[in-house]
Amino acid sequence: MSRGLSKATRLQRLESLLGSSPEGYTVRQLAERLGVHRTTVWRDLNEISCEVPVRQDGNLYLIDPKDYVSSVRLSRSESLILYLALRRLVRWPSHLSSPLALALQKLARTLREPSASQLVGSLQSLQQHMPTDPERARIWETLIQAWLERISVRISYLEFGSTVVCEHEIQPHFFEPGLLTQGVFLVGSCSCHQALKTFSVDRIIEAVLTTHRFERPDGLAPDTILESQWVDPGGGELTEVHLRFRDPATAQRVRHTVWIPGERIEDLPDGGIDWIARVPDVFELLPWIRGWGPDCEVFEPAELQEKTSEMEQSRGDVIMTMGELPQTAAESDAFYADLQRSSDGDRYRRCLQCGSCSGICPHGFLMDYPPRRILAALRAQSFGEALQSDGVWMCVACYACSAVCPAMIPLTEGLMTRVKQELVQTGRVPSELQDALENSQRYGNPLGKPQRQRGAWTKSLEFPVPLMSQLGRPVDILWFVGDYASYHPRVQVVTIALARLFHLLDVDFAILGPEECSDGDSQRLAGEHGLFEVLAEKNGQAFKKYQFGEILTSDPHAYNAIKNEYPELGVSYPVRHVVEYFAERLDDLSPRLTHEIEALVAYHDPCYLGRVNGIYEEPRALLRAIPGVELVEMSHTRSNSLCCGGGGGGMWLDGFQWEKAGVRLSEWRVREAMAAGGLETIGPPAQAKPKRGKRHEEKRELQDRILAVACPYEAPRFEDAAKTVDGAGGLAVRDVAELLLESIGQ
Amino acid sequence: MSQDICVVIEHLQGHVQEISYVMAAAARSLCESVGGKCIGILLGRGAQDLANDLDVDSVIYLDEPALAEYNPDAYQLVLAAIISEWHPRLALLGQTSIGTDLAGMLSMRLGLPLISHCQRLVAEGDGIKFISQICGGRILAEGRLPSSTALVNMVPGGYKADAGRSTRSPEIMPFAPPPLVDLHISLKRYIQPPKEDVDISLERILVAVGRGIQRKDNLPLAEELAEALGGAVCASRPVVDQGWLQPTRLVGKSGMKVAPDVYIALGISGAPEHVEGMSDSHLIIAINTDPAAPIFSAARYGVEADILDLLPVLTEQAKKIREVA
Amino acid sequence: MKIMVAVKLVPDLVENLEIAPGGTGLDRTYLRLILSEPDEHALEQALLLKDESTDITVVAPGFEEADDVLFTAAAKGADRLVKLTDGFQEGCNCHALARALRGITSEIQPDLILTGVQAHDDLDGSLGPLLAGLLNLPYVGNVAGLSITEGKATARKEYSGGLIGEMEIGLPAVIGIVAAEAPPRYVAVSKVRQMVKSATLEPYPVGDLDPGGGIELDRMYKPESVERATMIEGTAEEIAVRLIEVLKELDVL
Repeated sequence: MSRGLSKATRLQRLESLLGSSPEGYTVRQLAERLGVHRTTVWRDLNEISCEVPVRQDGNLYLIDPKDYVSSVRLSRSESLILYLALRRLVRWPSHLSSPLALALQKLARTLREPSASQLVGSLQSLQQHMPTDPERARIWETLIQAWLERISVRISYLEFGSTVVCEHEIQPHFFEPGLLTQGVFLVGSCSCHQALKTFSVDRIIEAVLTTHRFERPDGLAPDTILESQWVDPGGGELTEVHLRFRDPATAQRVRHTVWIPGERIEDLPDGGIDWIARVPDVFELLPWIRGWGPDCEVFEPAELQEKTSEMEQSRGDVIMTMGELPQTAAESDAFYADLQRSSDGDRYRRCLQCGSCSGICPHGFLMDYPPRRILAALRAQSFGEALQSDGVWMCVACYACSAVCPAMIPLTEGLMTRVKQELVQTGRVPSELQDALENSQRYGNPLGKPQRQRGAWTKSLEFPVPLMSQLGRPVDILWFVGDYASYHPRVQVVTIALARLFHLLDVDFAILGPEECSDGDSQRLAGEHGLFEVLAEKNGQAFKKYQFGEILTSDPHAYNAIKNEYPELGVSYPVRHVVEYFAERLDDLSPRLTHEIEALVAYHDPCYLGRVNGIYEEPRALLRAIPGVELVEMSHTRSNSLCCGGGGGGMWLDGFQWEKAGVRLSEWRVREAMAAGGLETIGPPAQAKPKRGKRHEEKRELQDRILAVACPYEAPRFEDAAKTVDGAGGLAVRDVAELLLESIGQ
Repeated sequence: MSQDICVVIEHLQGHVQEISYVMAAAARSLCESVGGKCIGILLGRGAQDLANDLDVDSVIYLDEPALAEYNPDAYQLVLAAIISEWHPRLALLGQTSIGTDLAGMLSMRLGLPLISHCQRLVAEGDGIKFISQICGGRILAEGRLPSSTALVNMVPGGYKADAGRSTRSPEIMPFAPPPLVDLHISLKRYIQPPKEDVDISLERILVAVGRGIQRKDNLPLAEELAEALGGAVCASRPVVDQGWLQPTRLVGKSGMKVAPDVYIALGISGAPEHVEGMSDSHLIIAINTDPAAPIFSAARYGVEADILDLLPVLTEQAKKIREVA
Repeated sequence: MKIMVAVKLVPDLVENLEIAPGGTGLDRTYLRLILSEPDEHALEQALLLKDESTDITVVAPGFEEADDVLFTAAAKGADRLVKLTDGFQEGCNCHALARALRGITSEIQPDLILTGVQAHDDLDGSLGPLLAGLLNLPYVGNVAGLSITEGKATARKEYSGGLIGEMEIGLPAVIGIVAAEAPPRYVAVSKVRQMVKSATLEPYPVGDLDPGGGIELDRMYKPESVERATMIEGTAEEIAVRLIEVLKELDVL
């Protein structure tokens, strides 16, 4: 049936042919199969090559399916959206695990790293826990075939809320994911009465293809169908659900979103609303209804009402244990209400319990109450129970949960920090952390070193490092050094390197020395907001005394505090991270980078520089400017970077966290650094062209490996980790500043 | 007032505590310069033989049921009576759980001056100089004891216990105790420390292992040394992390703070987090292959060597010495 | 039950200690005083014993740093805060402090007085036994476990080697705490700040201090510090012999 194919169809056929044979076809063969002249094939090939990665091997043409999806180039936001959509798929407890896996693997390649491998990784872990049910898989296959090839299918269907199985012959038109639930629906025409009907695929217990084909009516757009379907009174199997939201705030919230097409809202005199909708499967609404907690009253249908009041009663049975922790339901609610009053607090209500936060949390698998569960506990008024668990101290405030939450709930600062605050208020703090907090109060640094010695590191330099108090004049840059950079022997090396860099570049800078206190950000994230305020005030007083153009710091935590948190307390100054400064001055810096550093360098994005504050390119630009450096990415990079484990108080919870986890995040990261460079960077087809005849990757020779860092917590953490990870003995950990200095030859 | 130096002998469950010998040595060296006798004060029940190997000239011995085991109330009543009657130049008490209870109460009751944390007493001219160590060993204080009766709490370290031993049994002098009624304190029972768990913070000698031990199989080398020295094994973080030793053996910021007489750091780099846990040790010896390891700044003696080579030899030497003693 | 916790403020050892020009005492210019650690445990033990019918009074000598110590104690749960005033500009020894406490103690008439078993700067004995001797009260020190029943205290007194003696003491009594049954609790900075606004410090003037019983110093100095270890070299045998010698010298073996 080649003649008479429209050009579009022919191009499709051509593409499909090229992808079907590993050896490829000659133009003559293609011409034969498509029923056109060779010149037409030439033109077609040219045309599709713009869109599709056609490979040429001698006189053979083919498409390697692996190359296939790389023709889809997505921008960062496009990539993220697709990634999120795919992540939702991954979370489906579906019986499509096998085709799902393959589809995701193919689609994952369209994504930018790190989303790509992260998606594949999460799917692998999902598959480990997902039992495969060959029966269900077969039913799916049948339905999909029926849908694609337009063949009527006979199904055995379990009606909602019943044990009776009915037989239907249907013409499947489209699949639709459940709006509020994890289910999948199949919309099709019922052969008997030709009306559109919606079936929950999970309740299709048997499917057999018939021999009848059907034509799909024109203009069958899923959305219009759905709309009409939901309100079709003749549908029969729809059930009306009537909910009441009395609290005006909640009612407002409910109003904002169309939850189910065709829903009806009726105002109540006191500001509440009645919400009415028709749904095929009422119990699939349960999680959504539960999410509203006591704010949602169920009026219809009766079975649903019974079910929800069952749940109300069982809430009362949750055992609260002693202590000054919020133990009663009322106190639990008070905490929840308080949480919602914070900035973006209304977002807590949007929690879908999707579990993305718990999934992406590096310690999520160790917490009894990961973020998702804490929110569930809040809704169930059993927050007291959640607080009994000390699992929240596993949180390293890495921001991964906040970054991934589809409802954009401020999980890190809003929820986790507030939970820690609650524990701090009652004095339930692991002892290592207690010492760090007490030291911060007493000595202005968590390490417990004398404040007077904060500038002692300057003594080992051959040039003087100016102190603001002694300078007596305005200065371009106030260098906020930070705690570990000032006191920890390993990090002092970095500080000294940085001082040398400033000196070489004739930077007009000065430090506060003993007038500087801890920035307080990690203490804040560990739940000590009072302490943070004290430290911020002290720093603010010191800043006020002097005149300077901007603040520079090598500490992403200090950077985050001064940039994002201090202004609220009335301490507002322009601040940059040193990588931003050096990247700006790359033209001055580049020519001085004369010494080669021959190494495979993996750059670790610090959480508070990268994910939280969006600085990814500047440090990479600096590293690329160093001759001999081959920059590679680890499997978790950029916004998906894996925390070193130091944040949120992690630096001071090492023993506690290690005992729970048995492994350190820093050790995982070191392993990734050792493996970095194994992945091929995805690029446009032209660059991705393989060598003739060689389809496999070439083995990388063993080179010097460097893990480059840009945060003072990291050098000591990663070096310790490198000692315990097998085979990581050869990994060097260097701050970007150290590498720059080395390349300058100092 | 006499020129005699009294030593309050400490004993628990029939064992004389080592501090008693240290104080006897101090008393002996003073008596030689100052004149006067060394007199032990022994309170107990059927305990007259306990002082037999103490180098004192005589022992004031009280035999009373109420004094069988240390009781703060009973002991301070009796000591007050003895000291009031005897007016010694000095009464030495241990800087211990027993001696510190008593010294303060006696000082106030009898109006006698008290010096604590004393390491050495030196006769100077016609007086006696004391040298005390305070503030975690960072400060030394010197002064002269008054010529009237004074109380001194002594720490070990200034005198060798051996110098306070003698084969000549001292003369026992009985003393009539004051009435011991209406005591406000009574000893109910002793609780022995559990045998299985070693509390490293109570050990006087610690053999600490770090990464330099390399493998779990090498731990016995350290354990043998510890045994030969009469101490216990502890560790730095990497060893505990690997599961080679229990967390109760961890010394450092996240583990225990220890201050033993001797801390032998084997293959430990000396990171601040570890040093923090052991820097109060009286004597630190470090063995490490890396001459630049920070542990050498914390230690008093250092050896640049591989612990796996040195340990067996060291253990041998330790065993030899102990056999002789 | 009325519990009085008597605390001492001591030099912070984290800072460098310097000797004053006279050479007989510490240079107090840069000296920062903090709560003595065993006293922190004493306070913690008091808080652990607290029930609805217990009142805890914390008494501190009137140094500048006492305010923060007292407000922190209040934030942890102390009921009454007393600051002894006058005469505390220079340091004071334990005898003086014990005498300074006499007045407030007779006013409160506590059932139990808790204090740290010692402070690291004690040169003339420790506060607990001195106070007990002064007030003619029973005393047990080095206690790491305390319970109260009907006018009697049961204390676990620690000896070296891990031996524990369980003693029964008739109240009122003074007890020297070496460790509370739980580590001193953490108190949030915000809570302490709240106390600064809401709690009251009661000044209690004590007049001139009487340090009698302590001994005046001729000299105070720092021991020679060792920058780097003395390295021992030689064959394994030689090194081993030398090390054992060192241990013997220190009377360790």
